[in-house]
Amino acid sequence: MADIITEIITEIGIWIAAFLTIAIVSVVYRDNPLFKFAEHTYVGAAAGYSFAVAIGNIRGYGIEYLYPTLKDPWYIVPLIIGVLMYFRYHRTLYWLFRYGIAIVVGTSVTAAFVRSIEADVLTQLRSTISILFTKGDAITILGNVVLVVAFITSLYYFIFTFPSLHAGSLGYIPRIGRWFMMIAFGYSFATTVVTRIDLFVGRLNFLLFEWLKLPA
Amino acid sequence: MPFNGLPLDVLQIVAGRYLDLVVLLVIWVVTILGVNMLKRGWTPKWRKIAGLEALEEVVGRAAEMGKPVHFTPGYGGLTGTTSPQVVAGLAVFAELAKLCARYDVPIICSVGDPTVLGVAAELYKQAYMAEGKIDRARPEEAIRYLTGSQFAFASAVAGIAEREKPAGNVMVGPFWAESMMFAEVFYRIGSIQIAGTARIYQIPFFAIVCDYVIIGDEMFATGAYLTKEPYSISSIFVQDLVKIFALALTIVGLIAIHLGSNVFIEFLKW
Repeated sequence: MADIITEIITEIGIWIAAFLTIAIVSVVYRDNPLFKFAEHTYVGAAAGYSFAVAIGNIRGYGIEYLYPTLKDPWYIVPLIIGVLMYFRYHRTLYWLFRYGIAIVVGTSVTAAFVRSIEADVLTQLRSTISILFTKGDAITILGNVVLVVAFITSLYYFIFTFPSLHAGSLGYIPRIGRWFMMIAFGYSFATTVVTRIDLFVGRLNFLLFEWLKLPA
Repeated sequence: MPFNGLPLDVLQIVAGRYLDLVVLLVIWVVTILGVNMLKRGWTPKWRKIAGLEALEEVVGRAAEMGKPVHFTPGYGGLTGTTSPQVVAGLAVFAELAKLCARYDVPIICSVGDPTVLGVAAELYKQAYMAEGKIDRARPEEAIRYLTGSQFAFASAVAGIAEREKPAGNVMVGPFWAESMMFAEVFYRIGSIQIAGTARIYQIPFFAIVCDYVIIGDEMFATGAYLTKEPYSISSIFVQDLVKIFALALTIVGLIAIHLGSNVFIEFLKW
């Protein structure tokens, strides 16, 4: 009996998933009531889930450390910052919310910036100046030369406040950099498109073999 | 007092990170010096960033067609590693909102993070205030929190595009797999598009589908480029100095390593 109930529930789930898949894909034709229904269901479910997660976070990280027993008084700080955010809805004290936002933005951007000095700048520099043009076969040497030239010209492209470095014959350097970037983007695009086609095939497989149960 | 069980000695500098600290301090000092120089009347020259020059074109087209402009900084938030991209996106939004207020063009801003919602609403109001049209500001209609879930956010933006048919679409911020969905749906309804992100795997989609692309680091220069605010300009100037220094160090380091010296690699490991 339990098996039959599980089977029925699974089948209902497959039908709902199939219906929502077709409804979402129908936007390829044009906006239509099916797509609207699927979109609103999806957005509503996601918003509801986010709300539940947010409540869980307030309880888990905010209240449970402070009440009923004081486990760690430091947790009052994020709670206060969080409460400041809600002042946005107060007519006269709404300016307090700016302090909450300022703290969140300031700390997040600073943390990201500090990390990027090591991860994006120093590691990249270390790797580039470790490249030897004298080691390996011809293909490896050519690859290394291309890598260094691509790095130098692409970085050069992103200099903004010295326009003279982009004028005259020096202007060829950022142009070469842009070409290298476009080639890299082309490669990246092709790779991602293949992944997306794979996802699409996955959905088709689901519709054909799980929903319609066609013989494989 | 220990924080969350961590002793305070975690604050000591980790071996191999001294150079990080030095770079950080040098950037900080030179930025302050740059701000002082800017206040004394010095202004660095800029090369043009086509994507940002085209903002007026987007708003102008929308004004002619009597349709809105759509903007999204993506569904990223103000916390985490992508927060600088969201901040850069909001700087573009502030300028776009000002242009829309000036030419009486409705703007729709789709956000996927509650913290961004508040900031975007503030910037929107400030833009209308700066243009002397605060009575026409409708933040509750213009700034829309959709959802924080990636593909639900994507389908909601697609829905806005299909139903409200904005004449222009500007997307600046961190984008993931949803980037192509946005670019594609706005392309199909005939919107003029400007897109920018520092997420390297998404730039190709924007480059292929959109009319103007703001590539990677160009995005972080947008705030300074558009607002001409001294601190922002100074920080971009300092970043350029760091880039020139990095280029010089690369060339000198490569010459040194081919001459058998590891001194620059060791310096970068300090």
